[in-house]
Amino acid sequence: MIHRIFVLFTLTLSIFILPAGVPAQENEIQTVTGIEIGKPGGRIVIPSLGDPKSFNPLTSNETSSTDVIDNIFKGLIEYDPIRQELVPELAETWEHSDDFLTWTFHLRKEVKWNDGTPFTADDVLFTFEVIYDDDIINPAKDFLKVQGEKFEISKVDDHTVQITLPHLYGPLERAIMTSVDIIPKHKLQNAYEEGRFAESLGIDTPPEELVGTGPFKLKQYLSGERVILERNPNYWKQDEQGQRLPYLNEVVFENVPDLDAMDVAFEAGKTDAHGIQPSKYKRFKDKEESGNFTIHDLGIALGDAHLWFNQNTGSNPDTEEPYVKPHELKWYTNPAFRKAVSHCINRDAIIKSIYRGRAEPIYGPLSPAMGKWYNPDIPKFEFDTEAAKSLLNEIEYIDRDGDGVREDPEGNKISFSIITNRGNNIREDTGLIIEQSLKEVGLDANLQTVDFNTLVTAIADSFDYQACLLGLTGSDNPLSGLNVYRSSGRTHQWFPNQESPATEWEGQVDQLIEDFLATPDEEGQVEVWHEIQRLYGENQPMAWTVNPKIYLAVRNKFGNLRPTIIRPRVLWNAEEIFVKETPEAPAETKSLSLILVAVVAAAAIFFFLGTRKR
Amino acid sequence: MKTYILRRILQAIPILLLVPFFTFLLIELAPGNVIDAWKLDPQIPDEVIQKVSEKYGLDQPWYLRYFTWLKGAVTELDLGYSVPNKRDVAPIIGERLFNTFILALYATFLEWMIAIPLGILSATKQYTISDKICSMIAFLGLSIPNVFLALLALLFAYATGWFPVGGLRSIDYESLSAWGKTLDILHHLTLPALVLAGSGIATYMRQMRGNLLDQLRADYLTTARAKGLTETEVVGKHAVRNAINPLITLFGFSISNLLSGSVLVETVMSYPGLGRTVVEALFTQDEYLVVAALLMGAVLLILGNLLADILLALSDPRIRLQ
Repeated sequence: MIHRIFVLFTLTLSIFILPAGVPAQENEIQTVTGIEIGKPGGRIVIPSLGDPKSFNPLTSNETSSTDVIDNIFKGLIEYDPIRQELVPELAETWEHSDDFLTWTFHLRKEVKWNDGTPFTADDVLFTFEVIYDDDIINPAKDFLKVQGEKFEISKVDDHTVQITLPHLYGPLERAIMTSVDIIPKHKLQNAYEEGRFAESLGIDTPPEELVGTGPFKLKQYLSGERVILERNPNYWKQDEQGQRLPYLNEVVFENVPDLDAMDVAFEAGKTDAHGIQPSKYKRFKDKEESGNFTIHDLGIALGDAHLWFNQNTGSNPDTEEPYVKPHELKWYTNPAFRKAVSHCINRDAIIKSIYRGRAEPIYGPLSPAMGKWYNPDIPKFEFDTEAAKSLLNEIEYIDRDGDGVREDPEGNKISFSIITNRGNNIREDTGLIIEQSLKEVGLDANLQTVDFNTLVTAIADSFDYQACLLGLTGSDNPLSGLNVYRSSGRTHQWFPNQESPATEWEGQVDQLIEDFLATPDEEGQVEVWHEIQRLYGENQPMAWTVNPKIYLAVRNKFGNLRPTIIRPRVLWNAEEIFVKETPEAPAETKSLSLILVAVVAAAAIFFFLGTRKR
Repeated sequence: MKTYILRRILQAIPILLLVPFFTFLLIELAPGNVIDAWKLDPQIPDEVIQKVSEKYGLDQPWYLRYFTWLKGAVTELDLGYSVPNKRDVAPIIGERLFNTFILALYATFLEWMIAIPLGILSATKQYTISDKICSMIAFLGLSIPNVFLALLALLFAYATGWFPVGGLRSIDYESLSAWGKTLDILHHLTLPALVLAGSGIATYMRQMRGNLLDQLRADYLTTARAKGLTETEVVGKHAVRNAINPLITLFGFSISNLLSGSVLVETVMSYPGLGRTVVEALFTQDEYLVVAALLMGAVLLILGNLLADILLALSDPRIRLQ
């Protein structure tokens, strides 16, 4: 047995050390050390695009819901985004057997649900039972199976849980961190047994029914307006002076309908944190002092934008026409052709003219923001039209009739359209820059903007398209991208749902993913991911463009607030954040409306009285 | 009167059946469906997409969905389920409809209270400087698009800090007294309501001015003056009373203006009303929510017109409803 000792600290600022290896005394709350000592009170207002759709931590996956839920429900393991490490939450320590098949989790004895009920192993067992239930649709299920088989969960005693795996499963801790938020058995068992679980914890749940172990609990939800969370007095952490955490009284998620409204809300002082689009950086930088906020440069974004060609070898089941014309398929499946296209992505021009310098070039499927998972040594196909031309000449895609467009050896003109979604200016402009350099080397590319839904139908249903320029929102967790990398995945964009790998290297990637899942140590996992990225880089199934940098503005009045690139960017340590000083309340202006109504009414009454009979 | 109202309600039934029918058809004609966005999310398993699609009939043709929906709506008053919102449609509509209703009510209040006195003023003081100022305001109100006015209002709120930049209530709302709560909502409503009332004020003002000018030239006013009534009594008791009737007809139409205007105003000014919900639902192709919202719009329009006709009958003794 390897006993694991968890020492956590966050860079230079803060070190909070759990008593190393020594379980906490029963019912004694945990002391967090190394943070700035704050004072209780105050609130933070975070903008949110859209309402939460549900408070159910197991079935929700849209960020407008999970950003809220993350503060109410917690899992056995959480993630420290600054150290990029897994940290204990409801499980104080855990250990595994030598063969990595039996994992024992020691739960914290001091944790209580926010209604005062103690948290026990039964809650953990109940949570897994619900996740594994076939009738309950939830995204967690897939991450908690190995080779299609479920894990076995058993209770050792009230505060110890054992997980037995049927096969080696490398990313177990990560899977538990991502997908398992523990839910209260005492509140939900009845609903579950009566088959109402999917509907329970919906958006209309009364606050007292929403029982979690997180630092905050629901106070009020107003659809289209805001969600107000208030502090959970039973939270299990305290600071060095013995003050119970969290410091803040309230966390508010203010609903804003769109990005422009979000800008205005922050500028008007309604919200306390704000993600700034790269093109608007200067507008906010100029107001840093007067608005009493600081802009944090969080680095390069996790998501990426890329161009790919339709390499689907299948045929339409109704018409039996191939999805892609055979001679076109020959172009798209030719690695030299794709590499030539990659050489035509003028990343510098995109960064300078569209992002005003606030972006970084990307050459592979993972963003450098992924830290150790990112492989910096993959082949880079820099912008180089000469290299592109010689690659095309080598495979005899030459302009034979002198019209400026190359033909393949069979004499077909190389002409294709690139679709992208309408309304996203950044993507449209990127497309235009790419189109121009492709034309320069003699490839007749035409950018076509279509509605988002048309685009989705084309790339996911009808497969009736030639090339597509699109982005994916990234995640910090390599586990969540498996659907993209597996050749059988639905979001394996250039050729989804393959029955068997179409090319040798895709087969290699499939095998590497299996290796990753069976590699118990994280260093080994990282190595596998570096190899996957190398294969991607060498084969260029897509041409990656650039990733914007992320800027986040936060008001200066908060202490212990350290935003990170990983969601939730601001509230990952919500219990430690505090308000330094309360700024003066702005002058009350509500009477203005009253005066207006009074003046209008008085004028009208005066008028009507004046005209009435006396 | 009762039979008249009953007849009008019966006449409304085909409209209320056709509005959802065409909405279903139009949404079907637009490419894609409500769960398309999920297909691009690598974190959503195939199984989830399939189950949701079966559960809400997304794999069936649109007319079958229409009839299933209609059956549910008529027999169980069930307006359907919004997949993106993970909620029944009825409570969503309920919350938002109320918000739009108070906004429209306040806007109507402002329209009448501002437009009628100004209309009377410009008619009685025709061609004076005050008439010209009123006319200028009216033409500005008519010619500035709602969207632009909403942006101006937002800029005004932001630059002065006198008004909130959106929303319906402030965060402290719960801790306020009853009076404070009313004031808080009023404060948030003022700018959106003024924007929404903008074109209405202009229309009513011009209409009032025109009508009143017609009446002021009528023979019966000369009679009234000859009887020795003061000018105030002449205008107030006789002319205004007759001039106001066409405005009541306009009131029926103004409901449709308020509803369509609210779509823009609510979206620009972050107001949690029905209009914004429709826009969001259209973007996500959330058909049951769109259908229910448009149906509510149709109901309001029909009721508004009916109310206008009844009010007209009450205010003008010459009109008999049969």
